Amino acid sequence: MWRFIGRRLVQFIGILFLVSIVCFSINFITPIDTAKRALGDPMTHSLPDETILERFREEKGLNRPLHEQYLEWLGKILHGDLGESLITGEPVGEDIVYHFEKTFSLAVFAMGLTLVFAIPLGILCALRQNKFIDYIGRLLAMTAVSMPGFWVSYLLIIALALKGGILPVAGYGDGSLKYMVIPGIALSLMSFGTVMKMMRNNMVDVMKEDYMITAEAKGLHPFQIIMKHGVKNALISVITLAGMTFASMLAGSAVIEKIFAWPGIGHMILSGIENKDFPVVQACVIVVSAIYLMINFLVDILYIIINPRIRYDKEN
Amino acid sequence: MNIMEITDLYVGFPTKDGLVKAVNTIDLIIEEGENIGILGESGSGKSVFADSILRLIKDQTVTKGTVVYRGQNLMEMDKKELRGLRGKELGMIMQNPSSSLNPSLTIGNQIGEAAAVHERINKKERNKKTLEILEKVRIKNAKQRMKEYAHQFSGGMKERAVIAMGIAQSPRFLIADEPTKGLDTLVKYKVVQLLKEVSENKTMLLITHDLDVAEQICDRIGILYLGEFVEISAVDALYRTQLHPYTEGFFKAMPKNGMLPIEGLPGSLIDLPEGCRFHPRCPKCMERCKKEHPPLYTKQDGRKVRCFLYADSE
Repeated sequence: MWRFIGRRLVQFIGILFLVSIVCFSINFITPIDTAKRALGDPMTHSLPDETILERFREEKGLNRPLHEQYLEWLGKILHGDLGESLITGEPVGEDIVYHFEKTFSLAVFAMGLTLVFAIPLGILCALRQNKFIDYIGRLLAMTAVSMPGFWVSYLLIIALALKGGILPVAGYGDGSLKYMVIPGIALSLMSFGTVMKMMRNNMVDVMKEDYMITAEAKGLHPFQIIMKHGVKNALISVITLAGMTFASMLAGSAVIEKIFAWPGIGHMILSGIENKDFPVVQACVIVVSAIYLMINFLVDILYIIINPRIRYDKEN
Repeated sequence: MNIMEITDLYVGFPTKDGLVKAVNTIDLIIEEGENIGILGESGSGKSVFADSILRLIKDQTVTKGTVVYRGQNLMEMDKKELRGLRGKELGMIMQNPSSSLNPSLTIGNQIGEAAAVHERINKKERNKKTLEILEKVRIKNAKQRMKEYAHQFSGGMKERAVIAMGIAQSPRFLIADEPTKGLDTLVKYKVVQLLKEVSENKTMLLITHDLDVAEQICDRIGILYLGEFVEISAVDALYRTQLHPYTEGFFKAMPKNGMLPIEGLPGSLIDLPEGCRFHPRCPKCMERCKKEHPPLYTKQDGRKVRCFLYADSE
């Protein structure tokens, strides 16, 4: 198991290194001149003197060879300095923490919704396989999978905010739960279908296993049989799916955050791109990648913990 | 005293190709304390028969007949009452230990669960009980082994674990479904010893296709063919002479008896042969056998056989 963790750590660092190279190359791949972007006036498109631009390039080290620039940039990041925004001049790090908190709370809420509804419904459908409830459940799952997130968002806004009038249309407001409900449901629906279907199908397979009959022969109550012998085995692969889904939620759903003006990390990346604010985009991508990889890593470890067969196979 | 009386037991599964009549029909009286063996080829309905006694068969199945255990009909008993008997009165040693053990729970957990299902005991007592049971089935190093998972156990050890679950509450009646299947000779011998030990003072119904195992454990044997008994007899008499042509063929197919296989294949459980179910393969087939289904004749010495050759011996 430790060898497995070690190997995954090396992979983790390797991937982050590649991500950092891709991020850094935004600087010279795009036709935009950083100095002009930073000092120019976006309204009038007027540029300062060439000498001023040159001084800015000198200060920021933009004239130096690329690998030197890259190493300096990487060094700063490793020391926790994610650079400053070209627009505001503020450090990006603080901004990321602020936005990430918002994304995190929305992701936890949405993931919670998915798990609370999709898993019990998946179990219920499996227990009533090919009966009415199962058809309804599968229809719901298919619908959830097929509907694009932005469209669901608008439907929810119309139904719950405009017609219903109980919930705010969009925005973060004071951060209270009511602002989170609609974007949370919209985000949750994107993963609800896959999680539910997987749980149902796994459970259907598990119900056919011999050990379920063994449990019955012992005189266990059907509820115990399903919860202890069934659900645990059915959950094994659902955990991986749910973990990956959560990781991508933490990376910020640009679409949902944009629609609901939710000040999350996805929103921050989009604004960075719109403003051609490279340091912001680069820092966000690096941080988001690191978080995504980290969650995946944790999910792998969790998977090993609940699946004893893997645990020992890896060891031996 | 009779501990179980099975009358007209019928089990059918609907499938795409038609109704599979796996048990069709069985009558059997089991005396308290005896070890009775049910022998047959694969597909003769042995395991379905074993499962149907405890009603471990899924809903879509058609089950008819009665299984009266100590005065109570298990087939009509309500589910809660039946759960109370499972494990405690009627213990089951499941077939295929590899798939009958849950891969994600420890062996100790699964045995402890079987031991504690009908009583409220704390964890310490439960562990103590689990250890005792593991020692009873001769699992060495039990304290360590109970924390392990099924895939860490060898075939013989898994079989012991499955036996442990079956006897966890020392049931009065034990059903053992192919407990020696897939074990090598040495391990098989040890498991047979263990089964003899654990079935002491109990009644056991042993499902097997292994004549040696049956001879060592059983007092009486029923030979099953296409869902019905063709012969029921005490062990010593049966191993001396076989009455039914199928039983004869079954014995001759054993390596030590010349390994002569029975001609043909067992018929389909969906379209059962008309007349005697064995007639298409029977070397002694008569005209009558093709049309009439023979009853189970009881000979004067008490042996039962389903064959017209013995029509006059009653």
